[in-house]
Amino acid sequence: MTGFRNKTDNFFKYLVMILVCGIFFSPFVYLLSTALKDQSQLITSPRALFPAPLHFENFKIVIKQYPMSRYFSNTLTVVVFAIFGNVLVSTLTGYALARMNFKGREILFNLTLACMFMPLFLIIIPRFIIFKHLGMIGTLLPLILPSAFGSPFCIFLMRQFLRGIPMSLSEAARIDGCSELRIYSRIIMPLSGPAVATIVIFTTQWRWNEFIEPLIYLQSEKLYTITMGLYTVIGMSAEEINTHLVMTFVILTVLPILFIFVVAQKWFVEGISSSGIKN
Amino acid sequence: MISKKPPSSSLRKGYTGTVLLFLLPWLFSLIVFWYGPILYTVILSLMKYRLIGGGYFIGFSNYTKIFQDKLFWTGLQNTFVFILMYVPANFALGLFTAYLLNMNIKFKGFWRAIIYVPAVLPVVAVLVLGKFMFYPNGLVNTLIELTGIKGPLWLANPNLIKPASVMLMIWQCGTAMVVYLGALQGVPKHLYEAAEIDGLSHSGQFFHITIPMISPTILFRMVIDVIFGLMIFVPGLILPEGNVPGGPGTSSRFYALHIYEKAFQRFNLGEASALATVLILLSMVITFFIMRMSNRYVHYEA
Repeated sequence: MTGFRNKTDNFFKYLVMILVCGIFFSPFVYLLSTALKDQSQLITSPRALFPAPLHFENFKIVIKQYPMSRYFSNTLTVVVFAIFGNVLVSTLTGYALARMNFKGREILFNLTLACMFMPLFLIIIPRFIIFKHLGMIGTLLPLILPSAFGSPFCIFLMRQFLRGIPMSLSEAARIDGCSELRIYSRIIMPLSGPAVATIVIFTTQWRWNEFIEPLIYLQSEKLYTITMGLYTVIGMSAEEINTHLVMTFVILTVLPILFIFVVAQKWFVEGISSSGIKN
Repeated sequence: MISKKPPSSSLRKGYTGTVLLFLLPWLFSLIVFWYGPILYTVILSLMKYRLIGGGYFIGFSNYTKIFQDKLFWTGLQNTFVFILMYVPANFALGLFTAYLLNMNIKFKGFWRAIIYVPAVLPVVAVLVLGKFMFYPNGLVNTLIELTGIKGPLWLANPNLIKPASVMLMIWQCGTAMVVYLGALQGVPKHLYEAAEIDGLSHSGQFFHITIPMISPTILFRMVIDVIFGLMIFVPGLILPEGNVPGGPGTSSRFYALHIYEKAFQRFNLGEASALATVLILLSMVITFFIMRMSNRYVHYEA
């Protein structure tokens, strides 16, 4: 009797799982099949799952028709500089918060935590004015600087991680006359590989995906990042006519992030479950 | 906690200097990019401000002006309707998928990856893809029409564009799912074993053990999701039929879209800052309210 119940339970378990995952995955199928159609297939068989023939040349067309290499290189510039700055500042700050004693440490930590809940719109108007007065509108710097100067989320992540490294390591080095900066760079940082990897992955994802900041700061098309490129395309296509090319563009936009996800899924998941937020 | 006695090094000369060296970049950032701007937003809301030529104080007239604007109330209403749909939906779907993944099931990593992966995509890509999914011949209506019902025109219908936005945004519930999954795995097994002995049904276990045990996590996600909802505006920019921002009519004219247009298309920075300040207050009030509620309903284990 129980055996029978377990079997039907099992069956329903997998049925529900397949159904749910099927729905979650269906947009990807739609995306790919639409991206591989040509214009006549869009009209004759808009709902066909497997267009025949498949039009892989759409990727070539999109790369030729839009300044993809410029979008990519702008985005990569932002990503690379943001990573370098953010890793440096977040590890330094996280180190001080986790492993150094000073007055106001708890206050500083709480002020940093509060930033994680601070929505961009409450601070972006003054940031825009500051960048305008510094003459940085018209460059990529407004996209780079705030993230290169550390992220509250990464500082929090770093602090949690560094608290887990035994204090005795630092104590021993201090007795040997090692300076704090040396302990940081020679002893603690070499042990922090996983946490730094998480920071690198999240910074890449945030900067690659960011849309509101480019929308506000970038006023010439020469500086457009990939998300702004995608946004311009949607404005140009007269409704459904270029659907296949827009979908191809979407694929090119998400491919690098999907690649990173596949390679580094573990860090994504652990980073989020250790803190509870993204953004 | 960190070692109880202060390390001997804190007595060493120059220690404060070293601490400052570590903290300097972030302190700079906190002032220039975070807390300074918040303060500046509040100050700007009391000014008439132009990008060229600067500004002067005008008291509260920005506030009286924005309150008289009909679009302010439209935006507020749209944003609240969005939040009322999005927050419960994201909670339900996030917890449901987490619950499924917490069962004893094969290929767990594979299922989890499928549910999580939409959450790593850029919101713009999701919305652009979604725009075409909601077209008459798109994925959504194709699926609906499998049942024989005629699919609606989602993006041209003022009543349907917000539900369409919510559906796309909860496709990214993977973040919430991961957090709930972590919480579910933290519920002690012996509680369920005891309940099993007492003959508590599965749904009884869910409502009397699972939900109370993970309630702090639920509360935390609620706050995050409400703040996300208050800031929503990109769907109103990308989804509407014919690319009319806020359309059709004013149905996707969200509050933050109002701020965006005021600040960065008409460069009325004073009024935009007043709008942002109202939003600061709103998010503080709502967070406070949720926290207060938690004292009554949320179960914190010592």
